[in-house]
Amino acid sequence: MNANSLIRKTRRKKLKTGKETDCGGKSISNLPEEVLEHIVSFLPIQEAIRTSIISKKWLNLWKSTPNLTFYGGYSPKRKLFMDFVERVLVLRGPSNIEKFRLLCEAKDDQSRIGTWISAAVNRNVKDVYLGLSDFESSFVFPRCLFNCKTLTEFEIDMLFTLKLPSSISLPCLKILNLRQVTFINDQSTQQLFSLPNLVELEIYECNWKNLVWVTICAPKLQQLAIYESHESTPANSGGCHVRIFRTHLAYFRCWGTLSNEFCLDESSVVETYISLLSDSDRQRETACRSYKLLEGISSVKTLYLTIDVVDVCFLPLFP
Amino acid sequence: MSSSAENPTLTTEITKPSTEIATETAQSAKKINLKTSDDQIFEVEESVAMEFATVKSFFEDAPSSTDTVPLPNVPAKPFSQVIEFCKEQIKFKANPDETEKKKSNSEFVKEKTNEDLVEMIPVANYLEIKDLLDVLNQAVADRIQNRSVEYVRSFFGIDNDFTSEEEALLREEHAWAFEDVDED
Repeated sequence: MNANSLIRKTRRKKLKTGKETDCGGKSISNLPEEVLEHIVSFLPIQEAIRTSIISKKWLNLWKSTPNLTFYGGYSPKRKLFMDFVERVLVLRGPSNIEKFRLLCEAKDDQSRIGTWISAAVNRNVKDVYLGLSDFESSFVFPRCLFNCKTLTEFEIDMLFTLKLPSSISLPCLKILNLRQVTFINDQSTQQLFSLPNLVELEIYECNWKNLVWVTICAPKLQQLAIYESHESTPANSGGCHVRIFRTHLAYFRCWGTLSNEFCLDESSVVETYISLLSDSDRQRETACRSYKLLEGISSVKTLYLTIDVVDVCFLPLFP
Repeated sequence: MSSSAENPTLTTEITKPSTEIATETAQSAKKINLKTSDDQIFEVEESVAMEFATVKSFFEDAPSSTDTVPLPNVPAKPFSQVIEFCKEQIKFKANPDETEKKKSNSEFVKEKTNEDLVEMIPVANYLEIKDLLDVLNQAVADRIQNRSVEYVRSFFGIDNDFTSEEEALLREEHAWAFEDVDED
């Protein structure tokens, strides 16, 4: 007997027996644990834990809650917060974690936070957000984070260097959002931008100063948004040459002074938003790069262009 | 007690003139009788009844059955609200619009009392209506958020089965979860 017919048989039995079986009943007290766990899973973790005092049946429900959001960790309550996160991760059951969202001051707790991230990866986490501030130089994430088989959404927001392992394997990652990080080297950054199942990539006010040549070549990428940082780049620093290669975008947004060069190569795009800002030290460079960028998107269907550049060479011809 | 006639919303469906039914296609006109635990008979359109996985399985096993399907764990009051929800859902099946669907779902729970929601959960679970269960569980979670343990107990009608000593100990053990770790 296969599983489906077994389920059907159980369902038939449910209809025939008039008794209040374990699969239902008149009141909430007769509900199976899965349903109560489901209710608890919609609560913020701290409130989920508080439900353990309701009754004996509720005592351990919070332990399988899959969504863990920890926002806080600012002095003077930082120690309380950090201890709270640790307790939750130690005391919760072996069930999977779906969302792990952490916003805190990292300070001297790099390795401690690294352990928490590893714990989430070990529990097959799907959605990770890390907003970290206040620590020295670079933050070293556990290697397993960049080799997580289950990760589908990933956002990092930190004003520091993003150290990446030499090999990255995120086969399920669909949405990647990088905010304010400083990239270190071409090769690892390129691996991160060219993941096989990446659909959305947003690179927001990141620092490209250590990079020279990077190719974004993600076959399934549909949305790409790049916001350059406000920090002015020294004249003639060259910036990074970013090639968007063999990518077919539904949506592309580029905002900034083009202190880096962006060009589309063997790629297409449907809807494009380009906002070019002027930088008095590098007007000529911005103008040339604008030309190159616009040339690459000549097949665009809809273009929204905002130009604040004085020395515009000329616009390429659109067919 | 067959009291379906007492409920005016039900009689409109039952007493629908046969001529009108005849003009519809055979498929869409098919009705299924469902009997609740308090012996009310609901005549619902097949498409609505098929939203209940438990009932659907019944007909998959006996496709030609014309029997009234007993729902021994389903009282009439929450069941009529569950039918209301499923009728709305079917509209979105034909014409999917996530934003409208969310709006309609939140309208649905907004006008329900705490008691309505709590009574519908076991029914949705028993009939295996996943979408409704998601909506209801989210709604009750929203309503118990930031409330005291005592409030949550009375919300669900749960008896506290801890002795006062046990509860005091538990509160002590869980004190860390009752501390305010957020910023003020």
